[in-house]
Amino acid sequence: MKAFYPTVDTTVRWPIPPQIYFEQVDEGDDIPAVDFNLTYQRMIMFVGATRNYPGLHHNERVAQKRGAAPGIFLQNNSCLMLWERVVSDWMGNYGRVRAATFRITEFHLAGDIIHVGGKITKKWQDKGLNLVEITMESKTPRRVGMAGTVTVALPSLKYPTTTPMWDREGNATVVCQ
Amino acid sequence: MARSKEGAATPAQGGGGDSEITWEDTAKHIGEDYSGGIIMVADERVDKVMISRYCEPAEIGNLTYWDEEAARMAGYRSQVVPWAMVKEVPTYSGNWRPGQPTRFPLDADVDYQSQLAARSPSSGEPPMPPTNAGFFTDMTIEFFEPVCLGDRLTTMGRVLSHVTPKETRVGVGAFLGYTTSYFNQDGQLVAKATQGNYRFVRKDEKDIVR
Repeated sequence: MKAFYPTVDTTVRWPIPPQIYFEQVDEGDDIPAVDFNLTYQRMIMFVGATRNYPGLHHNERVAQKRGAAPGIFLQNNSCLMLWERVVSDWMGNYGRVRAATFRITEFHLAGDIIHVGGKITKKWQDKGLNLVEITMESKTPRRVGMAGTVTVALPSLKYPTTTPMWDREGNATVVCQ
Repeated sequence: MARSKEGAATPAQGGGGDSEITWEDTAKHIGEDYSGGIIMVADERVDKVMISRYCEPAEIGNLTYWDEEAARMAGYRSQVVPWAMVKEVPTYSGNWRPGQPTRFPLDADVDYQSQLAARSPSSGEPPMPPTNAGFFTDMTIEFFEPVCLGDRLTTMGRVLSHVTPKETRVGVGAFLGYTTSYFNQDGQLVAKATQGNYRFVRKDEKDIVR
């Protein structure tokens, strides 16, 4: 019997998405928002993806007793994954996240539709980097569920295919301005 | 007799405490390291499956996470770990390995919570008042060297950064934060994060504001 082996290169190719550049954005600009439908199936996918298995995130009884929640809720990193989607869709292949800060203020519950959007609230150059601060917000059906900022280093039109890199002091290690 | 329905709560889920201690006493320990000097080396190197499984639930489509060629074109060593994933999955130390006892004893009931892989090095916590509940609340994270395919991360430190007593809609307790650093196999800093959680005594259900 002849063994079957897949072909060596099974890489799937996707079209390269449009790129946003530092010169093309301004303070006050919104970045495209996304609505996330938190079905039970998706809640369990989040648990598996983060390998984070406390009952708070998949067991209603544990969520109510240990977490004081109405039911199972997204783990913090899963909440951040929603921002990851919105920000990384927007910043393209050549943008890089420099920092993020957030506070969770409401449970992201199964059955919720979470609206995630952001607005550029600061644009500046520092230590050789082109930076924008995006004020982010996740809205649950009840109230704001998560708020904070994500700081993104963007490429410039002058060096359109150079991804910003930096050292541990935050100094640019490649020319991108 | 079946084991407790509550099982083993994670530290962030509350439990324990000393009624002689106040949150002001806890705050005196700010700056102390509660990692016990433990250096956690991830059991697994970053691989493609780890990244794609992470991207699936939120449908994260940035091509540097999916396509090695796209990542190299953008200047990375290879396919990149999503920024939100850096401190989470690539630091994994394994929920069970050969030779270890089962995490799911036969006398555990259906709600029993097994003690699974630690997410950060820990040698306990500062003295604090009694709590019976808790959850994650906030995080500040900075990113440095990108994390790419084949990298193996090391997690170090768990320094108490803040203690803020507060009554909230769900209980009475305090917000606590710990700072941890993450390095790659070459000793390069890849991220530094301060994570906060709310430790509290849960209010009666009728008193909780939903």
